Amino acid sequence: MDSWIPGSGKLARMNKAIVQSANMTLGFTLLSILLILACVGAIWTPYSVTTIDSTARLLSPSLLHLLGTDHYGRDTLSLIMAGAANAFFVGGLSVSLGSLIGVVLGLIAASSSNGRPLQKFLDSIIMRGSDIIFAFPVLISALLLVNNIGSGMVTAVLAIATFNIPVFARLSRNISRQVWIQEFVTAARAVGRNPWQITLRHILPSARGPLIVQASTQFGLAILADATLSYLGVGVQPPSVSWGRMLADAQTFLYISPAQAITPGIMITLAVLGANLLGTGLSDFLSLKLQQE
Amino acid sequence: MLRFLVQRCLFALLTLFFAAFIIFYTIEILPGDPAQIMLGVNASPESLAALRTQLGLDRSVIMRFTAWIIDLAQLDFGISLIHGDRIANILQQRLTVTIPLALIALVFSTLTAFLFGSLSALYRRRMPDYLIAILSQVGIALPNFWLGILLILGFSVGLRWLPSGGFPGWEAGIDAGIRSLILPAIAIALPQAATLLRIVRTALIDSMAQDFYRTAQAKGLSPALALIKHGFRNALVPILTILGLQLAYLLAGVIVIENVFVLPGLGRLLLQATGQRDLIMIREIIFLAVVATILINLLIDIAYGFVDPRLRKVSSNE
Repeated sequence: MDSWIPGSGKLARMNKAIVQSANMTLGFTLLSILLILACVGAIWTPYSVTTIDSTARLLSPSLLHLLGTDHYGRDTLSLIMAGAANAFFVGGLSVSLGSLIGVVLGLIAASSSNGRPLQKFLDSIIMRGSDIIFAFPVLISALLLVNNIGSGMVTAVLAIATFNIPVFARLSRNISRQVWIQEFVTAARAVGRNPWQITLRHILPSARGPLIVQASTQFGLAILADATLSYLGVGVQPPSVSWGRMLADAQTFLYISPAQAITPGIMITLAVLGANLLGTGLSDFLSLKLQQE
Repeated sequence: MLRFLVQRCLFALLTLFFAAFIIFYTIEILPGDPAQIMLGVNASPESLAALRTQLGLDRSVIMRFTAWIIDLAQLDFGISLIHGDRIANILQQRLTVTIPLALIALVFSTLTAFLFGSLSALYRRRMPDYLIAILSQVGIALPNFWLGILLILGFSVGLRWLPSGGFPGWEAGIDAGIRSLILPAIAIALPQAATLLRIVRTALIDSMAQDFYRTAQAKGLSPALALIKHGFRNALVPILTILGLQLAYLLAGVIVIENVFVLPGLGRLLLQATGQRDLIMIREIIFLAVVATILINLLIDIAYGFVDPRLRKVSSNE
């Protein structure tokens, strides 16, 4: 809830600090709980998620199956846990991959943007390349990939990572360019440090905060995109479990067992909400720290 | 300004050209033999050879790409092998579902965003504002396809007011057609409105801080009336630019939601074509989607240039 509480004065600042820490605490707590669920779900689930039990199809919640069972008789709670593992894996991997490539490209672009003409050309190439990738929404690049490597987790990770490259390239380039014109960077150049040393020692640390904020938001978007892709049947394939796929299955049996369509959606919403809250909380925290300095 | 416009348009064309090449390359070159993919592994050598000739696969890559671009420039989208019809005809027919759906969603999300955004601005830092803030956070995190399923659950399975999916066709009456687009449009619109209402709120609060707003209130207008008469007009410029953002969301939203509600539009066609390996169809629809994305980005760019002349820097990349 950035800029939700404007105003100055001690009371307003205190008020602001409370809302910020509420954002951050809530976001952090949500994500931590889900992460623990995901980690446990990756190694252990109450019931097997691959065993079909035709005697226990579409059961209502009970003490035996806390969230009921699906149309194959699999325990919904177990599926939710395995789905959490999948969501965090795909989300984490795709954002890490995309941000790594994007940040490296952005840093290279920034360090060459005020150099010789040939270097400036490199900067233009990287930024125009970002524009081109930006023309492909996640769903579209996923469908392009499906023709080549088929549906599956790899397609989802690659499509979401690709989408993240220009996001991080632009952000890191714009922040770095502001740092490059600072006096301490000029001083570092004067004592003969090369662009790589300056980038590692001065530029990257200054860009770290905004990059972490962006990564948090992008993680939420990645989980949303992963769920959408697997709902449409383009992402993770059975027998692997995903929240999106669970919702697609639940929709088929909506008239018989509406309860199955609830929990996976709540999980996706909570994960994205957690990532967004953490992102806004962190961003407010950083700007507050900057003000104090 | 003219120089800025021309430069942006040229950049967009260049982006489009490279994007077209990426589409062409990933669909026709990378997977291997397009004829084999379309006909499957059990195809006879004769039919494979016939299809290869039909697709012009005996020509060089550059020739094929150039031929495609020339066709596109003439708005010739080729023939779908699965449907056995001109792709232009099929697209035209599908757009009669997709465009009304997108328009209704656009109206819904704009109205919702304005209503809640201005309520939030009017009751700033009071209960309604906080409540809307929480709703907006949840709305942003809500997957639109799940919202679609929930709407089906509530209004089709439960209340039986509206159809759970499918489209009767406009021949069945405008009334029946619109009825089957209402739930899909809401599913697209609400998560979008959750993002947009914050921009509306910020824009309104900015213009409420201006002198003319205080003057209007001093003249005896109520806060709400002053907002409607003066606040909106001055907040319109930033809000126009978010309409551009809306269009970008709509594109993805339409593809997903058409599949949730089994609506015979462009998004459903794209996913069906993927399942049927109708490569020509996939290539053309993806090209159109990318054209739309580039066009939207261009419009946002130009709109920002109009709003803030400082953003019109010609040579830089920002």
